[in-house]
Amino acid sequence: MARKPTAKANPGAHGTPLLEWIAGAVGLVLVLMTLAVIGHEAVFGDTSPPAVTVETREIHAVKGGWLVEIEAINSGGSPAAQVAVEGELTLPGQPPETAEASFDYVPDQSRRRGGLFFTADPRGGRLSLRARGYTEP
Amino acid sequence: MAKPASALMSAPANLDYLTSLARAAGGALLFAFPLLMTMEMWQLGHSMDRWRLLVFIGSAAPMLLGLSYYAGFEPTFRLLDEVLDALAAFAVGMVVSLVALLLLGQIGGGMTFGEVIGKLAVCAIPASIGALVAGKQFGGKGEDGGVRRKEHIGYLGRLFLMLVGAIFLAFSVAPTEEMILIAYMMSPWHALLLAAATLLLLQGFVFGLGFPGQSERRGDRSLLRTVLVSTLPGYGIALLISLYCLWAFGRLQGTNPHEIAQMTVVLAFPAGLGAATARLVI
Repeated sequence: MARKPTAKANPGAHGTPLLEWIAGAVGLVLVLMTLAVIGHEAVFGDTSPPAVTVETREIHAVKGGWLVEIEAINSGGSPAAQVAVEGELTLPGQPPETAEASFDYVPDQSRRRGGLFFTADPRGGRLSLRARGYTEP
Repeated sequence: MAKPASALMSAPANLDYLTSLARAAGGALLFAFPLLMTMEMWQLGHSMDRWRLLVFIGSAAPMLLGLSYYAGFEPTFRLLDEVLDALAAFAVGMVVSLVALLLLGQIGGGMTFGEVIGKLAVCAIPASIGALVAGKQFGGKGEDGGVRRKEHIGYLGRLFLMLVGAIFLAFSVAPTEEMILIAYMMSPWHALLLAAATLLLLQGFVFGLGFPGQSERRGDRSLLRTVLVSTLPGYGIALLISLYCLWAFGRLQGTNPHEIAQMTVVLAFPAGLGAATARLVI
């Protein structure tokens, strides 16, 4: 109401440029999409505890031993922090060798990569991988 | 000058707006980059309880609208324009967050769509505040628009600006682990001293700079009046904002009241500074 009457006489000067409509529409779509995705998870989301399994990816010979690339997969419905992962390598006729790694954060339904170092060739023995524990983020 | 039927297709008007958008993106980046480079922000996007995240986004909406009214990057008056500005600011915030997080390698393989959206949403809120504030910060040319109106804002409007100022500064540290750590390491005496120091600083800033959004009228600024009218409400706002941020980021669950009070006081320090200097920032 504080606007001068000239503004009324020439609405074009203060009208809304097309680009403003486009930017607003993009914003609206993004808001709705964000709310839809998060809302969907809020209502139908899985809230089961974290379930972390560890899988072997590739095995490399590296300086000083062997590297087993691993992937921690959280198939549960909640995220896990500080996931401790342990690998135990048993070679015939030798004491088992263990290696461990910890993942800062493995969100639910997600996977994160890491690696374990061994001195012996893991391909010659039995390698068992497991997650030992986590904290709630 | 030929009278255009509407600004819809007018090239200068659209070009002007493009400039505003670019300015907004700059503001979004400037305000949000400390957060975009904070580990907790990447994790919050997914670890935050979904309902809490929804409430968090929902509560950002009225704030963006209000901010668009007081400091929007277009000197506008109509509600529709404020809504458009707020939506555009959110769009700018999302895009800036997306590009920055992609560049920083924080969006990539192994992440679900929900995780990425959560991450972006958490980062887009501070970014869109920055986008809106940028209009004022980088010298928007609202000769008779936002600038003049800001001197006429009422007491509620001033409190609102303090609130935005508090969020502005509190948000940039609220998600970090340090806030919690500091509270754990503090003795109750430290906390009391910090609260007193915050109040003193608030009073100093408000007295020295004038109330956010106030025109320069030195006459009616008595000491007691500033304490009652701005310092105490300002600190109250800072405390509430701090408590809200701590709640939103899930820091209150299973924590004893004493620890909660200390965390709130710790966070109220930056929040109080933000409230006090809202006049400078926004």
